Amino acid sequence: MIRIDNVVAHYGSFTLQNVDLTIGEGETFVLLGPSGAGKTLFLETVLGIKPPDQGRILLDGRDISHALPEQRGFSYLPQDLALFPHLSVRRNIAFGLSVRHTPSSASAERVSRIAELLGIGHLLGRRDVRSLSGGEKQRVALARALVVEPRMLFLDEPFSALDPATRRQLHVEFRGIWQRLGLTTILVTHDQDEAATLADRLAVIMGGRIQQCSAPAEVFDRPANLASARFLVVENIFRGELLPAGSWAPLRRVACGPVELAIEPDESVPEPGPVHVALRARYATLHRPGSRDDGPGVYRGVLESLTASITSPRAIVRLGGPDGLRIECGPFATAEALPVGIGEEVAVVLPPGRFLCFGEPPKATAAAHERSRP
Amino acid sequence: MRSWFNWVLLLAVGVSVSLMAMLVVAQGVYMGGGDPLTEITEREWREIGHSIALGFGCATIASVLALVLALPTGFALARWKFAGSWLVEALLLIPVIMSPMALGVAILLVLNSPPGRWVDDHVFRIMFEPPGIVLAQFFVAYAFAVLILRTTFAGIDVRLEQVARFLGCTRWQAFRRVTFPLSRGGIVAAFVLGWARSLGDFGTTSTVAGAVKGYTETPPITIYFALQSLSTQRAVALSILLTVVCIAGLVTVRLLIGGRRR
Repeated sequence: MIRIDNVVAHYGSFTLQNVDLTIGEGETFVLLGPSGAGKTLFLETVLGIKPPDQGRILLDGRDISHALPEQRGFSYLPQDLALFPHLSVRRNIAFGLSVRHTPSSASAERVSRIAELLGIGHLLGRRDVRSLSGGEKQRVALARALVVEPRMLFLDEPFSALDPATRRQLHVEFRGIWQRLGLTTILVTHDQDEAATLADRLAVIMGGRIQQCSAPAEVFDRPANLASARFLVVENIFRGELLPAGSWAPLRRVACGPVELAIEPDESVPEPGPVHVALRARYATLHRPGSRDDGPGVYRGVLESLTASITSPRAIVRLGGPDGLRIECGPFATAEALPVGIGEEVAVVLPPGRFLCFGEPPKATAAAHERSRP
Repeated sequence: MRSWFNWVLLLAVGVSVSLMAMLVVAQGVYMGGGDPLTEITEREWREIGHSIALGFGCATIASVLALVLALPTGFALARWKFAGSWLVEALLLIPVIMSPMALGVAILLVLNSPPGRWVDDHVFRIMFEPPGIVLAQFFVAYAFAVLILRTTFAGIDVRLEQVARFLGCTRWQAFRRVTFPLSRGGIVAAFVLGWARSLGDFGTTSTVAGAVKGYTETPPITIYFALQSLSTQRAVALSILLTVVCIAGLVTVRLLIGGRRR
């Protein structure tokens, strides 16, 4: 188990702020954030490439904050994989064993075993690692990292240079291998699909600060704040005015231009005033007009179009006239799956319990967030 | 059809090759196609042999010493980021930007300081002695070596060393197993250029070690003496011989050290 205890680190004017995390044995932990959020600084600080300016890093209760990289028992896969270009595939994989003076027969046996596990046995005779394909390089780099049986594995966006098909294939394969080996893995990425596929637990980092940390479904469903919701691409985000509880109580109303949206309050709903509300497109459903009783959460609009996405086309519905709200709903497999035709009136259900409501961030915080980008 | 940019590149390469070839061809033309070596007497052959042996020996010792110091220095400059690093780099390149004579005078001033005099009196004599040749050539070779090595090491991804450390290497092991083999081309270049530059140095060497005939006489000084005695043909013959020997030396060094590169 690794405990990151109130760690602060600086890189130029950028600050990694008070990171407090515990990562359990055998867990795959993913740190997700946009470019410049502090992901690599986090990784380098935990790895010991850059010692923390404040706080401690404890590995099984032992303080390793200032331990040398070679004393930590970690393996590290950087973004560019850093395969040694002067060594053959076999010698790349055996590098860590050779440093440990492992007898050559034992080394050859372990290299063959890990190569078979990763499906690269046929590559062991290759002399030039630069001639490997992207996916082969990934496998060789992982084999090199795993053959030394590390205590933990750290990965810095290692799949980012691959084509989507290879990336998806490796996600499934690599996760299976980590689970089979019971390996504790920490991965940083900006790719949300990758994070959702690989993570047992997920943290979102923005502006050098961990915004939230929980199971992937919880993070994607309930972003902790407006910045996270934007980064996690919550499709419908509107600025509005939270009104005092009225006739819809216990629901609350948010006036967004000509439309009043009904939201279900929870402990995080702020005082009346300016807010942002957010709703995932998949919770917005379309129905024929009249098939649903009017009431809070049911709205009338016009079906404008279907987005051109191949994997998840969404319906665009306009509520409250031409200057009203533009709502994304779906996905819908095809135009035939829509209850009405394009340009026709439609009933939209926006479940009040699925809305997230964020108060206006203090101006100083927003400005600091912008400034903290490295 | 070639673009105008390709024509510019081609022109630049053509002019460069012509300029350098002119230096060699001009010597041959001056000799009128005759055998230049017939101009040299037996006694002169002995002097030239001594001069070449001294020049080669001193240049090799100076270049090896320069490389030994330039390797860690170049690596540190490539890896350490600190305020004022540009100033340190500028300081190390002084021998490149100073005129050879001025560099020689500066070395003489150091040797005339109390520590310099102590070394001269108690360790070995440097001024106007063969060790002076090595010292002068060391400064000349060092600046080239450190410049090339800093650039070489800076071009090697630091992530390779980091990954090696996580695979169990100490800093030294990461350097020896990863950085050093990857920078072999740069190291060979640093040595060869430093060696060639110091072998051909006249100004710094003659200022520090003097130009004592048959004693501190290196090949460029031999050519200078030939020109002084108005034996132009002899000077040209010597410079051709020196050019051939230098090229042969460079090729040999390159084959010996660089030939093992895959």
